[in-house]
Amino acid sequence: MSNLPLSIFFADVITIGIGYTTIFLLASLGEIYAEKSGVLNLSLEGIMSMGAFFGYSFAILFNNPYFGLLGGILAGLLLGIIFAYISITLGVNQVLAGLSIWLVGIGISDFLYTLTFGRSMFLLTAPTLKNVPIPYLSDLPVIGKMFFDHTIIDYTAYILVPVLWYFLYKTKTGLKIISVGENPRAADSVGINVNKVRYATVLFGSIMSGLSGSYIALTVGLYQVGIIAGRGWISIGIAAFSGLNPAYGLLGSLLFGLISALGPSFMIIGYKIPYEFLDITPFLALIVVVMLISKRMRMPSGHGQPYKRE
Amino acid sequence: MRYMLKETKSDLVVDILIYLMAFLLAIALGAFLIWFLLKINPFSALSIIVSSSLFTPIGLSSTFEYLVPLTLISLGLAISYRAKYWNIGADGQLIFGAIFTMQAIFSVKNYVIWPGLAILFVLIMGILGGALYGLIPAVLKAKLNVNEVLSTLMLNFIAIYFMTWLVDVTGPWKDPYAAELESYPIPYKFYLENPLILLSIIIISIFLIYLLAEKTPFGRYLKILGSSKNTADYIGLNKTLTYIYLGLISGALSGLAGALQILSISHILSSDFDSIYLGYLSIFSTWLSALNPLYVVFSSLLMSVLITGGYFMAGIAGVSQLFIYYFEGVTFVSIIVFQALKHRFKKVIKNE
Repeated sequence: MSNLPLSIFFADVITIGIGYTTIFLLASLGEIYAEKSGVLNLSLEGIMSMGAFFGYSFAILFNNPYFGLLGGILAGLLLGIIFAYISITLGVNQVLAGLSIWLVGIGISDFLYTLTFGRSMFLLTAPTLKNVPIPYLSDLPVIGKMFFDHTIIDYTAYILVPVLWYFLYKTKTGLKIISVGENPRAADSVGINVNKVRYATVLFGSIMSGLSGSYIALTVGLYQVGIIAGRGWISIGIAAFSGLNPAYGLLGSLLFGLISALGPSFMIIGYKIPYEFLDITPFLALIVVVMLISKRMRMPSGHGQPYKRE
Repeated sequence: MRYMLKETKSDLVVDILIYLMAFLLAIALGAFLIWFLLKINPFSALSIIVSSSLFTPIGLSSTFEYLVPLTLISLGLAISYRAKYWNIGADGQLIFGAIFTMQAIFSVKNYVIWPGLAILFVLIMGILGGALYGLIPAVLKAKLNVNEVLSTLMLNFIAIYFMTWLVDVTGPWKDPYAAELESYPIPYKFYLENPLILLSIIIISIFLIYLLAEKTPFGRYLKILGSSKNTADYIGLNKTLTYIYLGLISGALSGLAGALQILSISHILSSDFDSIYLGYLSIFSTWLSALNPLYVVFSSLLMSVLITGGYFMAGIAGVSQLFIYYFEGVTFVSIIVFQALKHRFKKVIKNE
């Protein structure tokens, strides 16, 4: 192999990887907040699928990708409210509630797609999100194209990391969230409305994953059945890997974003590996990573427990 | 746990009434889209589901086909969930059971003297495959404290992709004459289609798991571990071993389900071998059974009726088979909502 494909390969891995990172980052940041307040939201995959479908169809209907993002947010909000009602107000087991919303999300989006746009003779493409190069920085050789020529959502996701970190650890509201996750009863006794805080974080998380789903659809301008392909589950894994710290969430998203980019990059340079092995890698890597850090990993004490006043 | 024990003692008639209401709501919601788009009203949808899945020969056999794996998997999950061991990796274990079964069949198919023995061997290999795959998350949890929800989920994806590779064009098992991603079919002598044998396998499994859960010290440990980890530590319970046994048992049952899927239904391994996600569906039937091994068969029957009926409804309405995911999701949401609201409903019903 000459030098050329290798350098192309690395450039591809990073450019594609940053796009993948955004997907994981948006969803896992939201999940980190939800889990920090004690709610394990397993429905991410379904919410993202719904977000992708809403994003795709809104973008086509309004002929504007930014309306598509709005659609993703709307989808997240819609399913998030149902999940929050079941798991928080009704106090149903969170694993069960998450799995059923996952099925609903996957089901509605795939089913609606086959009923509507999927019936069309032609593949309808939605307008895609345009790259917004950052002036001057994007003109830098090599790295300019890699890092400073992405869509507005990419930039937003990276900016959100320090913002959400600061909000969680340095503001009063953030500490409220942490206390609700650690000890809901104590939080309640000092006058914090536990379920209200949890509703807020879960809805925020759902909106973020809806956005992430619409981003997936709007970067390629397409929707297809099973478009999320497990990336919602990986985002949940990244949230666990991060120890519910947004900063480590970025680290995990980058790691898995780059790992996920290996597959498409190998395909671009025409290297022959069965694609299933490439698809497996993020999942395998997640297990290995979680194994390695599991000794240090600690979840909030109230994690996974519905809260009932007595 | 306390809540659940209370539930099982409650008034059976009221319970059934509540389930019926949930069921009706679910079907109304499930049929809503179809009704909205294709003008089939919910009541005829209900009659389609029940009559097609239970009162037509083809529907009945399809219902039975789902009943077997759902019951087997749910039995393993029921005892796991008693100990709050959230194994949601039944799909991966089912697939690895199927993979081991196929490998065993390919290895011994030329040396079969007595088919019964060969089938038994193949089934045992399937059980082994599932059990080994179920062992991984259990060891990870027991030794490294890795959250089992996460690890079993990831293992599901790994199993699905591995299976897809096996039957893909570059994989070793791809049948070159098949258009789809399919393996070579298994020889006819390995077919196990007698419903009586399948039924007896279910009944024996239910009986064994019931004995294990209710009549042995192990079953008591599970309840203790599920209700309080501190108590379990206090009485000196070996948590490591308990998780490992649970991983092995639930994995073995899923593996058996996978082996039976190959021998009795699909006869091939294909990329959409588990496209309906039997493992995830079993989580719901497990939950509906209130974690009681004796009720598992009824909740699995309900689930099978829903699946078969959903397929029929999709067929009649002329919509995609993907309808089934939507329908299932909506059904579970309304059932768990009704379950959670049960005590409120009970007050209303009893006052009248």
